[in-house]
Amino acid sequence: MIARADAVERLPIEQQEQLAELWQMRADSERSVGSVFTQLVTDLSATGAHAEVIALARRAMDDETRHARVCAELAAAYRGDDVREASPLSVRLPDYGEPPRMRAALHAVNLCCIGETIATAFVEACHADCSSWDELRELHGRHLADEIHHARVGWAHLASLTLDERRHIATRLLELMRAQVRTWEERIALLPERGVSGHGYPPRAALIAVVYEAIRDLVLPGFDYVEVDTSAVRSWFDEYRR
Amino acid sequence: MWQYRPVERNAKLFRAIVILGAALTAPACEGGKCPTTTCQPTDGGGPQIVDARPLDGGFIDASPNDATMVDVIVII
Repeated sequence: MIARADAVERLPIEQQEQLAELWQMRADSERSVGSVFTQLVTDLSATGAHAEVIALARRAMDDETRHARVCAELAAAYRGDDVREASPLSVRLPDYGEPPRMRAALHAVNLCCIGETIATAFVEACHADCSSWDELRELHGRHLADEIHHARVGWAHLASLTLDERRHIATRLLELMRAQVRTWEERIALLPERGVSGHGYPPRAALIAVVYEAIRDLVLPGFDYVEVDTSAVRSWFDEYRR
Repeated sequence: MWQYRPVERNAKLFRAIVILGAALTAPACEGGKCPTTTCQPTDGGGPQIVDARPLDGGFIDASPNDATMVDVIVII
């Protein structure tokens, strides 16, 4: 159980309430991500994915439940009352109008190669901004280590696909990337504009920059590395960032 | 004061995520692109090549029917 730290007491009440709300929202998100990983584990198992990929995805499914609990405890610490369990929206990823094996691959690309890879950079940025509270910093550190494993699910799966399958994924990449960028921007717009220094919330503009850098330095080179053509996405992204 | 992360940090993340992730399954030695020590030949036969056949029973969609379909889900 996470105890309410002095660093929390020193914050203005409004910021304590704001952070409590954000962590409770994040608890819900973590649970929802867990349900999508459950969908992914089923997809991968049913379509003959590599055993290593399935094992990693299964681990991620369990991790997200634990993350949700940690987020709910942090919300309680900022609120100064009891833990409220997450109340996630039941969600699933689209069917994409594709056969099962390609659908599973696109789910892995969307959730892990793009979403969880961006999330590693996001959590790392939060981890770097936890100077006020050692326990929070440690929690972000553990979360970052988990996110790295979650992102690997996608890259491991992509690397196991045939060249034809990877070529087909390339034709769907632009729509996936546009949706991801839009969603990250929308969610970051809900965070404190100036951040909450020392409490793992850098300013919004910095977090947007982190997302863009993650796409530039991790996601797009990642697709290049596993030989998925990124030329259409790069053209769009270069123009979009201007 | 917030400072942007150095580019080298992303290089470390890239190795941790993409290179080590891909090495878990890639039949990399075939193309001479074996980037990590995690991809060691086994029994002298090289790394395991993925068996991509669908499992018996085909595709099972266990998602709840009333789940809301979302294009993207993020953790924040």
